[in-house]
Amino acid sequence: MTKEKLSKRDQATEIIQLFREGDSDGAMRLFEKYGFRKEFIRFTMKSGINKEDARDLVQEFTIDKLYMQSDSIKDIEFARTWMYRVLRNMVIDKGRVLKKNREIPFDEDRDQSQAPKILEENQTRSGCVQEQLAKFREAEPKRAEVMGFIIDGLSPEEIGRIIGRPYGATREFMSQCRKKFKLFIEICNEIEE
Amino acid sequence: MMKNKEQKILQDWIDTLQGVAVKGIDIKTRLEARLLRNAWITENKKIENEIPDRDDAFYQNVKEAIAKKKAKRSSKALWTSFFENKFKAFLIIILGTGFVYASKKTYDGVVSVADELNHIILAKETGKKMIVNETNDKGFWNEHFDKHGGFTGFWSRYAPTKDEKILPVNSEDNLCSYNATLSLEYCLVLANQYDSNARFNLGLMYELGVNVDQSYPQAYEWYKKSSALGNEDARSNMEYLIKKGLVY
Repeated sequence: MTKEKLSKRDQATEIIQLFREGDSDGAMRLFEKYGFRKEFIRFTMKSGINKEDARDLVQEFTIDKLYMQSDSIKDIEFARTWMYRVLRNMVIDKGRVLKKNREIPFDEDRDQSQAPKILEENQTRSGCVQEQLAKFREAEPKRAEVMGFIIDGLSPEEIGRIIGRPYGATREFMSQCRKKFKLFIEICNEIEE
Repeated sequence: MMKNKEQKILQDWIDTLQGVAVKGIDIKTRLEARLLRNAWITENKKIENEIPDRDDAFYQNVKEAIAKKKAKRSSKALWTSFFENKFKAFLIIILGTGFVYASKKTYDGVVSVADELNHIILAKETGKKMIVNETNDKGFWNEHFDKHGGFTGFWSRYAPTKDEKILPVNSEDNLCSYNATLSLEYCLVLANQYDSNARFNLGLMYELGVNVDQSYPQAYEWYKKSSALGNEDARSNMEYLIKKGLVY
């Protein structure tokens, strides 16, 4: 469990360390080698930003935050958490701009808090879960984001640092995520594999 | 107890989501967690397929931007490296502040000395301008011949007989000319006769408190009256009183 998580943490720390030492070329090589570009673009796209904007945002993040502010990180062992927190804030800002410029269709103001109860014919269970996951992300973007962090191997403490909550409150939030998602996924239990 | 059970379910759910095999987990929770994990990973793969494996343009742009920022940083580096040494920075700030303070003090001193030099504190000599009519008869000889016997003509009798003379008041009796002997009554008499120096002296008496109670507004008034008669020293003393903030 912890082997992969620790190594990801160490990779992020190594990159920040190189930036601090002034070896930006070396840092960028490791950034690509450890797959951070793909990971961050994926994270940004999952937050509802299109591919081109996500790429530009990660590029901006690399220059303005990773390179320029690497000296300001207090706990270097939490470098990965810092990266996610900063990127998440940038994504939220970008989301606000996009939302402001977007024209909202009439049918979008319906209440999405309730999961639909109708099943399609010939649907597999995994297909159903995927569909419900997409709906859950739309209805509960913050909870879906936290679930993503859990699956990516971040500990509750690290997630708390990213979303700005103390440890206990983060665990409580995670518990709510589970319960909320359970409501969405219940419908899929009716399908037999 | 209930809380502990909840916490265990949550921990099992988290571990299963992270791909760890958990023993003794509730079957339903495990199934849900595994389904969610699989769905999430499938979604991740789908998105990652859209992202190119190599993106040279991405790194080229980052490299160029970093090179630009580096150039900007190096120009600032001189200052930042200098101020990294806190003691040195503190010393510079203290010396700089001291220098500014000393410069200000010196400037104020020079201005103050100039003001003091322009400030006249000596009384002016007063006197009476009198017109004296010389009407005494000189006699025929004195009127038409000079002292060497030369004929001066008949016209000399038509020469003006009036003469203007400034007759200084006898200094022993003049009580409005010297600091030590300034008298209010005497100066007032002369001041009322439009003597600018007497008015100046009155201003000085009030300013320095010589034989009167010190009063800067009164002094200013007398300087003003003296200045109105063209006394430049009175004007400079007026300016001095204003600069020093003694009158408003």
